[in-house]
Amino acid sequence: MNCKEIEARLDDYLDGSLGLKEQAVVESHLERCEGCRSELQSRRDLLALLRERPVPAMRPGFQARAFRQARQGRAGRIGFAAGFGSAIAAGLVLWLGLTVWWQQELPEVAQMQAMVLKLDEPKAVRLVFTAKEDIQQVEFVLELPEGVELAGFPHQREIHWRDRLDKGRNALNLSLLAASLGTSGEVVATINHAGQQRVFRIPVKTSDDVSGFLPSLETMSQMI
Amino acid sequence: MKIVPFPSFRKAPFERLLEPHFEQLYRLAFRFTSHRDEAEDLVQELLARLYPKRDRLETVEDLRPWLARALYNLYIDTHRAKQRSPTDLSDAAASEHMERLGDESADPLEREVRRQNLQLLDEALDRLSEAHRDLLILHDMEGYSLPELKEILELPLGTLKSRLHRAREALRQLLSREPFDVIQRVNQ
Repeated sequence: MNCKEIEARLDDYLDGSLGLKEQAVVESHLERCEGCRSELQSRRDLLALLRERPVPAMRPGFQARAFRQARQGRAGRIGFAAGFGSAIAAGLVLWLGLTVWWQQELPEVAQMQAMVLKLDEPKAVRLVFTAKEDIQQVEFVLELPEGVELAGFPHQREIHWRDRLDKGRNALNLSLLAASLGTSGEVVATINHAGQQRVFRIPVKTSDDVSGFLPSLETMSQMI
Repeated sequence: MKIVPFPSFRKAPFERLLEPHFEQLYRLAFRFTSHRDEAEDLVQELLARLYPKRDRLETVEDLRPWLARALYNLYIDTHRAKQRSPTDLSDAAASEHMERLGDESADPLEREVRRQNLQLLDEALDRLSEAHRDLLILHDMEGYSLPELKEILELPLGTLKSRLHRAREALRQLLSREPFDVIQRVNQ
């Protein structure tokens, strides 16, 4: 093949869509032709540049809002103000730690001050269980008050499931959001094993006004 | 630290099926519309249209190309009518991304060349025909394979391959007309 014929196959060569025989012919030509090698590199660089074109991140909370509005049968623009507010909430990850089993000096119930949840703005909460050894067959129960949902689990007030805990720290990541405003209650996470029980209680309020209620990470660590 | 897995089977089927594809749908929507607000509108509208037909989603064998096709068709029907304006990369997120791209190289001159190359590339893409631009978005930028494109664009493989060749050639031609040849500058 001459250079023109090789050039006509360079895109397929880059896409990996040439047959083995043609691929060998192209590679053999490339080994001895600097012009075609340069053309190949040019095309490779252009493809890399195309893949690098930036895409700005979605506004924080957009995914949860989009699902909620779809369930409500609404399409179209979601207010910027709602998206902007969620940037604060999305950045906040609360940590609550509790040692479970064989460490009796620690409380059986971990409690913290109220979290404020806003509409469609998931707030991340990480519950950390420290186990002294591997524990099989642990039952997890999550109970949610009226007006509060787990992101992606609409209309579910109580969720049960079984899993195991590994020796050391085990994290359960929850993504909580308000489904309606003006409610308050507790998110209760319970873990049961061999007749023993440990409970996390997370007081929550649903409101558009977060002033005065938003706990800081420092506050949370003092609660443990 | 072990992450205790949440029981995903308990998620509402609509969310469980679409969540793994959500980010990709947004990326694709941004590639088509070039604006974050319009991309979010497009994805929001797609979800609103899919929700009443959510039972059907469970029967789709491969959702990735199916959803891309649904998004693409919606874009053609509702958004393309609006005059396309140049890619909006002015917001902070895009600027940060551009910075990150630049930061791969310690050489300020190289960073600047890269930034300019991306700008020239955007201008060239805006001058391509819609069919060529869409194909480059789907295949070269977002990595949809030719068999997937066959489903998304409803075109035979042979047509797709030759159109992809022509689209890339058209882009190369546009870039080679720039005062500073982007392709050559990348190589320097």
